[in-house]
Amino acid sequence: MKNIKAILIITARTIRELIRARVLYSLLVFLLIAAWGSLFIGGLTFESKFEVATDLGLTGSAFFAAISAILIGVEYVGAVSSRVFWPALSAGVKRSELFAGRFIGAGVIVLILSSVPSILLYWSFYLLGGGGSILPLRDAALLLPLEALLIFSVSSVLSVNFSKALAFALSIGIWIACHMHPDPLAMEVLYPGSVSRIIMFIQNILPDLEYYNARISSTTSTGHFVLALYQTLVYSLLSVVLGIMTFRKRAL
Amino acid sequence: MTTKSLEVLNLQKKFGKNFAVKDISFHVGAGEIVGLVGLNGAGKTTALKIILGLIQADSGSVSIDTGTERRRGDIGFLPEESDFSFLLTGYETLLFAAALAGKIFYVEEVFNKTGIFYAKDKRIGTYSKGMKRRLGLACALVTLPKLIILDEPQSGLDPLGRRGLASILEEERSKGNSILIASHDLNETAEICDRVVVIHKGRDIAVLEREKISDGKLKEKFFELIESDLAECVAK
Repeated sequence: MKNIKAILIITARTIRELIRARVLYSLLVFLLIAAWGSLFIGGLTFESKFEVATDLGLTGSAFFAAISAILIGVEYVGAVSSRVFWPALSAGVKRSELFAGRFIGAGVIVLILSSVPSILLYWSFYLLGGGGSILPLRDAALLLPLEALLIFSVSSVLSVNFSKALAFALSIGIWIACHMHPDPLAMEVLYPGSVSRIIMFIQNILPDLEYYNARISSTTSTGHFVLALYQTLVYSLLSVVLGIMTFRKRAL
Repeated sequence: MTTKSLEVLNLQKKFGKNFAVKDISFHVGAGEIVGLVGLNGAGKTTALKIILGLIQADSGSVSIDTGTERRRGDIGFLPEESDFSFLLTGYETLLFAAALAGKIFYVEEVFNKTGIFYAKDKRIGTYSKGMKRRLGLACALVTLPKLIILDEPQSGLDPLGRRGLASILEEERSKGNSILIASHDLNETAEICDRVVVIHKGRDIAVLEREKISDGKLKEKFFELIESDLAECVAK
């Protein structure tokens, strides 16, 4: 019970801190203005202005979700090893409780924040008569939070073990790598022998983030959403365990 | 003989090939204030971090006895540089420290004691260095700890703050709580400490009792010890 209480206290503090972080809202406002503005630009140049706006909205939302998830992971979960929490750790708070509390609090904000752009865009385009072309935005509202949670988990683990800059750079690199789909046959032709096997092995370990791309995937298939959820939970859980294990041994 | 609240035995810690702490031993009894003094890089902060469990020692032991079954908040710690989340207010920060130990009833009292009650609802981003130091001290005291560990507590405090700190420490001592202070402010350390452990190049080179450090004698004794240790090192 004591552990859970400590985790809840740390979670509440993390949520409070993140609610007050203005940088994230500035990014969100910028994204929404850009997507709504594209309705006007689309109307000037194309017949299907909603398709243009949806496309821009999806790209912007995916980028915003990933960047904010990585930033939050590096800055807020990574803070567990900073001086801010030394008195709490000295007073007897366990490192696992601190990591779990920060992770849960920041994770909740990541989930909410990454779904907001696509929900707002879908809702506003729907009211303007967007029709069927805006449906990927609805799917993105479900898939993007899962992708964001996954990449947030990865960046959280990295931030415990590396400097902020390196953790950020590695997280971006992993995010890009997880969106790539090398064709095994083409790889064998390009890099014959063991090189292609190593690349394919790494690719098989990394999660497939294209699975969360609402342009090519659709949650209208429940099975697809369940698999996406399953992939997110597995990788997030692994990341939390790895994060706690490494943080427990780290010299502060 | 007083009960030992903290006992440190033969502590050693290496960073790479260099010893940060090499064979340090001392103890702090109940109701005692003990000072760790030394030059910059002598190993004071590393020794404190090992005691607090923030880093692991290569060898040696640390035993903490708070008299009863160990509970959260039994150790209060003020780091050398107070660091806080600037997005929170002073009140929220102190409440967080208190809530983790289940002692939220003392928040207002500790704010009053450390002299920053007037700023409790302001964001920490607006605090001065001295106010942050006072808040750090408040966080260390709010859990009603039995063992208080302070790293350079006088740093950043104005004369009024230093006087307040001395009276807080006196009050804690009178309650039977143990206090360990790492500092290189020799005058103020000598004024409040019962005993001083002199650390040089990671080793404890002397333990000076109250009669040897009072009336400004610590400064003289300290330099004498450091110089003779340096001469010994050169001779080796």
